[in-house]
Amino acid sequence: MAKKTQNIWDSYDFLELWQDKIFLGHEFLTWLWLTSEVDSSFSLKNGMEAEIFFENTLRLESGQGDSKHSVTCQLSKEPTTTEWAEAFVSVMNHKKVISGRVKIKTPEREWTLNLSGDNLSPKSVKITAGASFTSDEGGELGLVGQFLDRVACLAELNAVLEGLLARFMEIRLSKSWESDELPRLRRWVIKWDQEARGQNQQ
Amino acid sequence: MGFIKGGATMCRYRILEEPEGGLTDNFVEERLKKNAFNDIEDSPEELSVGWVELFNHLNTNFNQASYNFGGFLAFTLRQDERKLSAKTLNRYYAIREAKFIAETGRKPNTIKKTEMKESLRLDLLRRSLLNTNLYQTVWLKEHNEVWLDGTSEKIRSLFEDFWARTFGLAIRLLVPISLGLELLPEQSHDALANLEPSSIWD
Repeated sequence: MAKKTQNIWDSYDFLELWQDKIFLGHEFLTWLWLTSEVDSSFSLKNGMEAEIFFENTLRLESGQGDSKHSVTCQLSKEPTTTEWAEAFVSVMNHKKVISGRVKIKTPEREWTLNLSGDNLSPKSVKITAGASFTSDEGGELGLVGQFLDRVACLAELNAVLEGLLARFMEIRLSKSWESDELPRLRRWVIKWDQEARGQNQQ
Repeated sequence: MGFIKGGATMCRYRILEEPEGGLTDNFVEERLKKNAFNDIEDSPEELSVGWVELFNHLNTNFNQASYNFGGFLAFTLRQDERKLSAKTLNRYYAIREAKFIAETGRKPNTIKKTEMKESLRLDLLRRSLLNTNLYQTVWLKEHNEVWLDGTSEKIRSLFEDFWARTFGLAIRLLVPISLGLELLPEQSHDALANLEPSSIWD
């Protein structure tokens, strides 16, 4: 794995490239949120199936340095279109999702976690379904069993995140990003924004 | 206690090198023992950093069963720190100086002042409580990957320095750009490295 990317790293300093491409994670989360609002099911290249739901908190940001402007949308656990209204308007004002609380479901497991676009490091991960071992099942041995189980769960979560990122990267680097994907996302944002405004007026 | 129980938080690193003689138990055990945590409970030392066993933070024996869990290795980086503020030191020094003047009838000269202050600093440090931080580490052998239970720059920096000192193996943080380069075929690497931000909204 490391050898595969060695050449490019001969030409770039890691920290510089990370900072230069920090937008990638923000674009990924924005794409993931909007795409999951259309259809929460994702078939991943690595053969996995996952459902994605954004819940509770979504942070969006535009600009850099002093001109940086951010919005935090606090939502209920299963947000409605009306609750997302502020987020839709933020996207229309060129903001991108920089972090959010996400629920990820596979046929066997379920996790909720905080994801930041800067690093995509999973934070405050709760394994809400699929963990088969608890430490109550036999003292220290139970604790070891629980640890092994949790490492397996977390490895699977990382595989899902990688699958989602790979799918985004492929689209992002293809010509269809400009020609199909962006127009599709914009159409949905306009539709939801109109729906939210309609519901607010009622 | 991220990887054992509670909400897990992690950052991921790719290990870019293999130990010269391969990843053997001897290599791991010897390096862990050499860089094991030293207790500073009964000394005035301000900082101690080192490895402890995953399930026993008081133990640094590193028997194979304590760190080798088959497909992965796990141990904990422990950092004990005691802090003494200048304000506290000065307050206690004023008391000690007043006592000195009462006993001798004169003010301490510069040399005596420095000596008294250093002796007081060590006394106070010995009496102050230690603050202990534990950062669990999981080394997934097959994937050349290491997880750290923490994401802040301060924790990462502490871990990266100590990892290099212990194992001497280069690692790279997995963030969107480094993950993307691993996930995409080599012919897409230049395109990814030269990618510019794209606005979701025109």
